[in-house]
Amino acid sequence: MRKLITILGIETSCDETAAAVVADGKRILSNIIASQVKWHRKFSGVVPEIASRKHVELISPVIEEALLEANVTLGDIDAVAVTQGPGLVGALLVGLSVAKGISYATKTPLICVNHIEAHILANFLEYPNLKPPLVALVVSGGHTAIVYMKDFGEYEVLGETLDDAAGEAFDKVAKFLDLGYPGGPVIDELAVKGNPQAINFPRAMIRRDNYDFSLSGLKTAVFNYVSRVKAEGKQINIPDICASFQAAVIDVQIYKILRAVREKDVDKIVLAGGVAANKSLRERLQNEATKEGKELFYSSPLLCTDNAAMIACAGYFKFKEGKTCALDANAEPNLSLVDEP
Amino acid sequence: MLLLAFDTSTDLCTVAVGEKDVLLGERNICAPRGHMQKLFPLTDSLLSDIGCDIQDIDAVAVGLGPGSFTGVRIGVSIAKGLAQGTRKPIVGVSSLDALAKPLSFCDGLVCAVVDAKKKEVYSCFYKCFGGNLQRLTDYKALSPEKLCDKLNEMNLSVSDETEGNEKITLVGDALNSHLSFFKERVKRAKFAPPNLWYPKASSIKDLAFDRLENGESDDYLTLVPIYARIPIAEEMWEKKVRESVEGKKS
Repeated sequence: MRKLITILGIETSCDETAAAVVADGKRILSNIIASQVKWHRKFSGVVPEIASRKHVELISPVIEEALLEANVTLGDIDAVAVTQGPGLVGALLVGLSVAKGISYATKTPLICVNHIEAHILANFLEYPNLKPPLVALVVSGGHTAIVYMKDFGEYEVLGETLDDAAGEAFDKVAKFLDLGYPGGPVIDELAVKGNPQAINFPRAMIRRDNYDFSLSGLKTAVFNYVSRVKAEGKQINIPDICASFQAAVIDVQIYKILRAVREKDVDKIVLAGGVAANKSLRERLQNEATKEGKELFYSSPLLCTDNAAMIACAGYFKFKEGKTCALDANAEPNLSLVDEP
Repeated sequence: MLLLAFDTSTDLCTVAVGEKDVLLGERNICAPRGHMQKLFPLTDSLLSDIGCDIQDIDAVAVGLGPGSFTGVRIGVSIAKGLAQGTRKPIVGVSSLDALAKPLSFCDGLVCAVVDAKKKEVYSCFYKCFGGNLQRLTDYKALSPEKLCDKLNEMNLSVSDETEGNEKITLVGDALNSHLSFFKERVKRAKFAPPNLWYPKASSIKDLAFDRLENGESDDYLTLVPIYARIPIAEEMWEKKVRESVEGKKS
């Protein structure tokens, strides 16, 4: 029997310290995530210096646990895959340092992975028969992008956010409304009880002939609305604001992803990234996809948010192509999907 | 016993391999913000020039800082990865101790001063006697002005009889920008020459052997850098909380 290719994945690009062991790019043997959310909560956002410090504290125990749970030793690992970017540079450097150390000590190849590509490839873990071409909407705390995946390793970024990422906008609105952190799940939950048509927030860029997003204007519109209503001495309706804000975000995303799907003439849509766990986004995109006769793929919430199984999975595809990294590899906070290292 | 030692807390990317009291080789390169790219190629070429392999190493030693936050995190994280990968012991030592170590043969006081940005320096005081290094204070970030006051205070506590012997020697990369300032403000101070202003991996190695001889080592699962400063966000948070408590009182 052919020996399975076993990859250790390491992810530290933002505020989750994660390690995973994945066999043949599809069998998850372990997927350990240490969330730092409790340390960032009081700041209502990720503090890069605190994230970097926590990564140093958490990374080795998390890797140890991933190996134990997978019932493997470092001797069984064929390659070490790690997030090279995009992300917070100080946070990325911790993962890359540890990965290089392990790779050098065990004489196994080091594979540098693009975080956005890994988010898309996370879906291949749950749907082993999924194949490109496809169009992906990658939405998370740090990223909002529409990506055309022509083939493995062949990407075209059709559009991105020009200012705030979707998750960031959720966090900032939640902070303003004093709803807690992280904002995404809270707003998603409150929105269920609200009327999405109650307030007509702007759908920025929806008419523009491109795939870019702008979310900072919407955020400001929410702030202005709340201040105005309060100044009029009226009560604000939090569920209505959440539902209307969320609808404004989702409307633009759905409009643009569908246009990309038509333009690229693909029949598969992938929804990826932490915000892909948003129930309303999933439901509405599912309805629209079905109407258009397209197939929608999204993973379970654990594989949507930052994790290392997706890094190991992406690492597997690169390993098969012999795309390993040199000893002088550096973290790339603005790593693009197109200019592959 | 073969030790691999490195330090990435300052602009100097430095790596050494050696046994107890024997330095087999050392590589130093000035690499501001370049540790991630430089450390492994330097280590790899050093090991191959010495004719040994990473698997021959019996322990890994690393400078914990204080120094550049990013720099020390790179060094400590690499050391953790190497220790986990080789299953060999890991030994962390202070980078300020490593600065003072080469001066331990000259009896007297030593003050290590490292640039901490934000108009501050990291500092620590040592007493040297007979080649031994005794740390007298905590690792602290403070303004050069405050450090001058402390240095002069230390000088006053030294009796006149030992004058000449007991002068304080300053060493560290903070002298790049503060040498004339300290010369002006601190009485009876000596200054180490510039070739000693950066911690060398050979000193990290020597200090690590001292610890190993005492039966001490660290755990790669829990080893963390010495920051000597809390994150600014925490500092501002504490200030905000303090002000709101004081606001309620008044």
